[in-house]
Amino acid sequence: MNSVTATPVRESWRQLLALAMLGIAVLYLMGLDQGHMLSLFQGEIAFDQNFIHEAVHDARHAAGFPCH
Amino acid sequence: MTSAGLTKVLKAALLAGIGAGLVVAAFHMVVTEPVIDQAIAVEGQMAGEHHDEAPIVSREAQRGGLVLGFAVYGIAWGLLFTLVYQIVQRWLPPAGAPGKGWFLALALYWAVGLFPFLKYPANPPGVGDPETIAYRQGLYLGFLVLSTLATLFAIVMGRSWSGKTTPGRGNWLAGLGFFVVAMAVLYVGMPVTTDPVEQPADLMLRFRILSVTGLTLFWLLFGLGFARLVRPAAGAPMSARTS
Repeated sequence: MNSVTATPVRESWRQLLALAMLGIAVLYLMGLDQGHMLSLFQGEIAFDQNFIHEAVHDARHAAGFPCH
Repeated sequence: MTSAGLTKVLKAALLAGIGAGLVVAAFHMVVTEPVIDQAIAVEGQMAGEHHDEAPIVSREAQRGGLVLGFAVYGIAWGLLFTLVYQIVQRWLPPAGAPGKGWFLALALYWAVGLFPFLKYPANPPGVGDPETIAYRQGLYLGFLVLSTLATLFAIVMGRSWSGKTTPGRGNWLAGLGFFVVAMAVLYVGMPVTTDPVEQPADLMLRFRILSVTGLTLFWLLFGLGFARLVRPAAGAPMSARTS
């Protein structure tokens, strides 16, 4: 489409930054979160329930993330 | 770098990631879930009455979570693959987007899949002291980041001082040399985790073989899917493919 007009440098930096933040956030939720994310909404109980961890538990083990 | 290029790479990488994730989830559903069930049974016996309370997510729901988790895993690596592709693409082999994608998928297979597995092998449920989870996660994530940076730097080193078409042999050797030394330093230098393993040895072995098979499957399918999806539409000149 607009492959002729080069993206301004600042714009491409923004795109890369957005990709990095989004990618890290998604990987964090799938592989690392131990209740911190939901504690923003649920408070302290999120650390006991550890809902995200429990929900994707089997995928974490199979993909090789340290789990518990 | 054009935004059209980015959009195309991102679309191909996300679709390839989700597709590969779903296939790997199906693989684990069939062959790995029975091993996880076995490990949980052993874990329950060891824990005795401490583990009596009902889990927040049932085993049935966790099987669904396996699929969801690997779909999200595919999205995450689709995003991060696109990021890395955009940054290092000019140092990737001059083979068109499908060939570059294959090369990068194999490089990431090593950097975030196989190499971390060799240092910190996957464990079934029932292994690992919950008290040390933050430390182990830190080590694992740190290893992933360092291994990726070193692998990418080796690629850049192997090609950057050369002209645009043919890399000189010296550069290639320098890149390879850096790669070998950096990997050895990382492997030996990073601390080991010392949590007791309380699962039977044959169960551990079976689980680890299945886990590394899943990782291998994921990145092969990712490379395959990306190469197919990013290829120019019929009529446009075909890019050279690498095997």
